Amino acid sequence: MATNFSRVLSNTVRPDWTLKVVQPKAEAAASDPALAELDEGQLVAACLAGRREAFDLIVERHRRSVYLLCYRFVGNHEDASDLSQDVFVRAYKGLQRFRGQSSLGTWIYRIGVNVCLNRVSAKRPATEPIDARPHLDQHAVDPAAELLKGERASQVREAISQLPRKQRATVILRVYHELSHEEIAGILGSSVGAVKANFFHALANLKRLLK
Amino acid sequence: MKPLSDEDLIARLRAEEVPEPSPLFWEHLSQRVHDAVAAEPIPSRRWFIGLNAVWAGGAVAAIAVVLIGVSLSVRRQPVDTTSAGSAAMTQTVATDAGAGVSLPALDDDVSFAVMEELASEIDFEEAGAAGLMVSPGAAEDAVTGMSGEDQRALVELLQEEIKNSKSL
Repeated sequence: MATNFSRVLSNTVRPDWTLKVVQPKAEAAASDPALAELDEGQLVAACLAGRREAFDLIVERHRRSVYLLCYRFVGNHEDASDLSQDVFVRAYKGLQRFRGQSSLGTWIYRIGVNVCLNRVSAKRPATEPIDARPHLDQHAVDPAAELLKGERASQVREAISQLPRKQRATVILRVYHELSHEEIAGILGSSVGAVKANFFHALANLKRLLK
Repeated sequence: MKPLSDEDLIARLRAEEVPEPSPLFWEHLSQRVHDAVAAEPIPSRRWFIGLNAVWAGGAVAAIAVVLIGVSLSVRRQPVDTTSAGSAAMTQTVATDAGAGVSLPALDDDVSFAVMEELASEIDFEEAGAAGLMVSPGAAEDAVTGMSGEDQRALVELLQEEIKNSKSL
């Protein structure tokens, strides 16, 4: 039996191709243990010294928060994905301007807010994307409840999109990203008092729009 | 209908969740950024980025002082040359006329110093525009433009000055 099996193996035709499992470049750089131990300032310094792979690690650390920020502004996956890429490319190009006065995350948030505000000012969709509309999931536990939830979410997105730029940014950063007034002031380049006033007016406007 | 409180509103806002993208999306996003960044030149710190506002202000002030100094010296130079030349000419005339009698040096004259200071503030172009510049033939034109009585008075003044210079 064993002999037969060996014979079968020896008679097997070997393929003329080989299969290699290649790790994506970005992932490979991010898993570099030497880079993984660096803090944000050291990663920035490494980027400026010409080590592009250090930026892959920065992207890995902040991609989720940047994507969520962008999604809150545009309300759909495709635009949020494109904006996230734009935010990181702008961050890379302006990396020499990062002086470490705030955290790298706050600095990237600032770029993200500017990119998103510019985008929503330049391109305001006349209609809501199809995937953003609530749809009835027949397999859900309670389809009616799911539909209601989807409708309420759509109303919230629409109400937030009608806020003035600074109020919209303040609500998104405060409610969804739970940043402090001071952090938001740093990101928006305004005073803490202005942030508090913006938030107050934003809530008043949202109450009016959602009643 | 009861108005929404701030807490209720924030709770309603937070109930709107972002759909979680596919787990593969994050690697896909990283790869997209990686490829886009690879097409960009490597960012580098510029030498002036490290300068803070104080240093930058000081450098600008120093450059401004140097420029002002240079411009003042350039503006003074023609006036000083002229005044030095006229002083030398006066000395020469006096020496010839007085046969060895020396006049007091103009450098010690306070009124001349005041005039020199005032003259140094006048720009040549401004002076020309104001009609203060002496052009060739201007003295002859002025004399021929005088009346006969004024010409006689001028001759008397000149003769008196010549007499006085000979007596010195």
